Amino acid sequence: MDAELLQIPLREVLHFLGWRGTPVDAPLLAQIRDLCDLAVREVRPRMAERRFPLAPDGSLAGTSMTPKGNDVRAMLAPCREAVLLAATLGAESERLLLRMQAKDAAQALLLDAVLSAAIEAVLDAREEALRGELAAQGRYLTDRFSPGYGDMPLAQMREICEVLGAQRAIGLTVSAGGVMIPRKSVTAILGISDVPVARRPAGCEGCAARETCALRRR
Amino acid sequence: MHTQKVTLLDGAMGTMLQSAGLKLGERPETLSITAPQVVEDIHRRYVQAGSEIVLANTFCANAHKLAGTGFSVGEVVTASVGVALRACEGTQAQVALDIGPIGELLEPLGTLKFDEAYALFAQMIRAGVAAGAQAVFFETFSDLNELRAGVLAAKECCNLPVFASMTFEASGRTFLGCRADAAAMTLSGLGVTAVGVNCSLGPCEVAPILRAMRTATDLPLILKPNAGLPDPQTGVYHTDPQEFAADCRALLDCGAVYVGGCCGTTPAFIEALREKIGGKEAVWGEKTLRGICSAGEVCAFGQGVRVIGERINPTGKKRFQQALREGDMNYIVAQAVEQAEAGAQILDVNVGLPGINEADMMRRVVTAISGAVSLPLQIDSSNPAAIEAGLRAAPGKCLVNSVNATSASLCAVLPLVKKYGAAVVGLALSEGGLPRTVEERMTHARTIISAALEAGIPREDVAIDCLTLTVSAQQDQAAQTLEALACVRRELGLQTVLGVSNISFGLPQRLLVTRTFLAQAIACGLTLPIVNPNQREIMETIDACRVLSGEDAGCTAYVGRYAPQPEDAKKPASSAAARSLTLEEAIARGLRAEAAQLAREALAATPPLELVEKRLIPALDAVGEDYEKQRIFLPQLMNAATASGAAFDEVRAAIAKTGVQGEGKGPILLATVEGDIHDIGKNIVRTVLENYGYRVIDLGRDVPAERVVEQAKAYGAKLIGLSALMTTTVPGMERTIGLLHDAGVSAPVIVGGAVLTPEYAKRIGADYYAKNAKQSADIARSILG
Repeated sequence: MDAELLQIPLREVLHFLGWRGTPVDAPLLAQIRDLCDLAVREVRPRMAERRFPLAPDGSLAGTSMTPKGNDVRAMLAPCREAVLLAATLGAESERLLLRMQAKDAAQALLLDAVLSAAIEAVLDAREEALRGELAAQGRYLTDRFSPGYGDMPLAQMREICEVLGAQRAIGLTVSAGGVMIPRKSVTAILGISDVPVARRPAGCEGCAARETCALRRR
Repeated sequence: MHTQKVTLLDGAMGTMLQSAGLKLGERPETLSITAPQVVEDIHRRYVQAGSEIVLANTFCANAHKLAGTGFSVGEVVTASVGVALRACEGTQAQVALDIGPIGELLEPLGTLKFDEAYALFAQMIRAGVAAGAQAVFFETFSDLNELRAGVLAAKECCNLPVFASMTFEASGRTFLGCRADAAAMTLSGLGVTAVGVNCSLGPCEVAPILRAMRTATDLPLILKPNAGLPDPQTGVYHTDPQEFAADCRALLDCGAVYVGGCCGTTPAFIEALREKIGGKEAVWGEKTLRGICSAGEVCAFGQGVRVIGERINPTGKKRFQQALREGDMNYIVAQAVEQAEAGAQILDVNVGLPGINEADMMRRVVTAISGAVSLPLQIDSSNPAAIEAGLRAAPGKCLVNSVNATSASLCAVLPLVKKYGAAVVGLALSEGGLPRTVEERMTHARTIISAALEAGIPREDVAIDCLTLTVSAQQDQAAQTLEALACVRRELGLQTVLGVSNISFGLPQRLLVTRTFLAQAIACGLTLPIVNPNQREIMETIDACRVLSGEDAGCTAYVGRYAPQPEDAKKPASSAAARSLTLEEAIARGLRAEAAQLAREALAATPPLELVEKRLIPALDAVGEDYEKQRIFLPQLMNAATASGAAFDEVRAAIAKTGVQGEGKGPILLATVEGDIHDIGKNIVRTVLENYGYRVIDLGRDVPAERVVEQAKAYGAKLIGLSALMTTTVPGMERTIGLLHDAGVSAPVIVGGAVLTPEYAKRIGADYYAKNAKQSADIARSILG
């Protein structure tokens, strides 16, 4: 199904560009804003989503998938249900990148960051909406956890795609080399709990990759 | 008017297996071996409900999807076809081998090669034929090229009927942007039995998509929609079988002959279809849309002038020749993008150059272009192997340029045109050399059209090129060409092609003669001019001709383009701005046009290499230092490098004028390793290195280790840069370095990429680790000077 992309936060784009607070000149900001407009206009975000009860053995009931790794298992421990999400900016985003790369390498760099921020914005919007829906029922949503976070194996993104039928549903594939294509795509799992759940601290402190990550927020 | 009795297909297999206990994420196809009775029961229920063709449980039985299941393609296909045949025993029902997408995207957006996809499909098809399948049914495809690979495999490996069906979104396009009419046009040309739509949405939503297909084919259509729309949370379908069947019945009048169901449909749906449409006749009229297409765009013939862009051609273009020799796809794609933005509707692709493998280059260029630009292509070559390579690679229906009236040419080219369902340009030329008269041209045109018809190529797919000769050399010929053009339109009713620019060769103010001739030719009936769309005056002439011919109804497009704008204030007064800037400032601020202009001005007084050494490199160094000191960040560095690149282009042009070959230091070979398509980092490094004056050979992304070795040797690379972004693709980097060492390539290797560390770089045998583009340039300087 189609997903919503209304706005791409400028700050997130700068974050993906490795910005560390140095002055950003007005023409560069204008360049980024134009590319954000282009992305919102040309890209068609799509999302697949399904809820599954969590079986006592930790697997998602009715599927062949068991979330792996201590971090995600700890996150899901208080939950009786989990939501799988897969979202993509679609083939349009790939074509846009290829076209821009041929025209102007600097613009392509900016567009790449704009699209990275865009797919995060799509997920953020859905997460927030879901959190609101659940809150109205007196239920709680955990953080959003993606394969590759903490000790959850990256390979589980393929399982999430299989369970959601992501190729058929939203045109998202995983290559033999384990790369999601279209590149600007995300898979994630969230837990639903009847009791309040501890959230990870916002930012990088809770992340296992914090020592080496180039995108670490300082 | 066509009529054909409806043939009922079956309904969903996955939905049925899930209600029998299949877990999501499991491979349904292996159940044909582990629980054959369950699968056989489902088939039998469909046959009892009325299915005349059932699809074997082989949708994902390809070698990639079965990897790790412990079963081979042969085992699963044989078992699945066997189960289906058993279920049909004693009935009239037939069994089709069912083939879905492989699950990976093909190049250029993905990493799977067309030939690999072909081989995976061929393996399934051979197994299916051996097991007794009576048809091959492709369904649920989003990528027209993947489906083309499958259909070609089926046509080349067996004689069974081939069905080709795709899944669309409500927009009328697939996830990959393929249009329904383009799919129908392309697949019909490949000789399938029927084309159509499956999965997608419910029958009501599919109706406009099927009707779009109808415009572009005379074949019977496949209609196999979902049971309406699923509940987004639970995935459950709620449509009633009677309603479903009634909605399907409404499509019999657009030739829905092969009718069944996809996700969410059950035997009850097939039974409802039997009650409502069993034994009924589907009817449909002739197609109305003719022309050529890519997956994403249809270029309709017979509706006015269609502009063919001529710029992808090395003839007389040093820079383009260099790009071909070095396999610099980025440059070639840029030519395609520029022409598309200038208004070209078809792109001519000519890559013939002595010393290169034209067929292989044609395949690579066609593939690369189709990723960035969705225009239909004209495959331009005199080499049949190159023509075939282009036709095989191109996602859509191409125009072939060209065949001529000699029997050698007709015999070599027309069978290819027929096999790939292309259209063809016939050059009015034969053994006797260039034609002199209208009648000679008409004779050749008649020879070509009758040979084409005999080869099974329809009239609508033949265009004639009456040949433009240079007016300064053969002045009488311009009139002959124009009159022949008019004759071809009037007497043969064919489309006409003309390479227009040649007319003015050797004359001053060439453009004036070219555009005047263009206007005359269009008035005489030229429909497919081959021109340089980047020349504003050419496109303006065409815009005006479209007004005069009535093609631009109500002059809407013309007025939209040329009516005076309230204010043209947006245009930067580039020269005025540039006057107050230095070249160094223009570079530092990333002002591309200004940097180019200032470089051009400086070159009047400064030798090119001196400008590079004394001004461009120091300017870039200053920016690089700001970057290292974190006074600016990456996009600012890149903007500066791109502006410096614009200045560099002026330097290169100046050097080309002097005729002295400025080779640059290097060469440095760059590649994103096999399996990885994240090339943004590599591209940044390339831009920066080029602006330091190094000669960079960019092998692109997803480059096999073997190719890196081969190219490193071929170019005598002095330095090799490898990039990989993912933990899953870094092993490809290690393998590449290992292979380079084994092959005795002694050039040092720099590696970079988000997940790499200096320690890891050392461990996989790299000589250098570069954290960013600036460091890469520093390393290059320490090695190459």
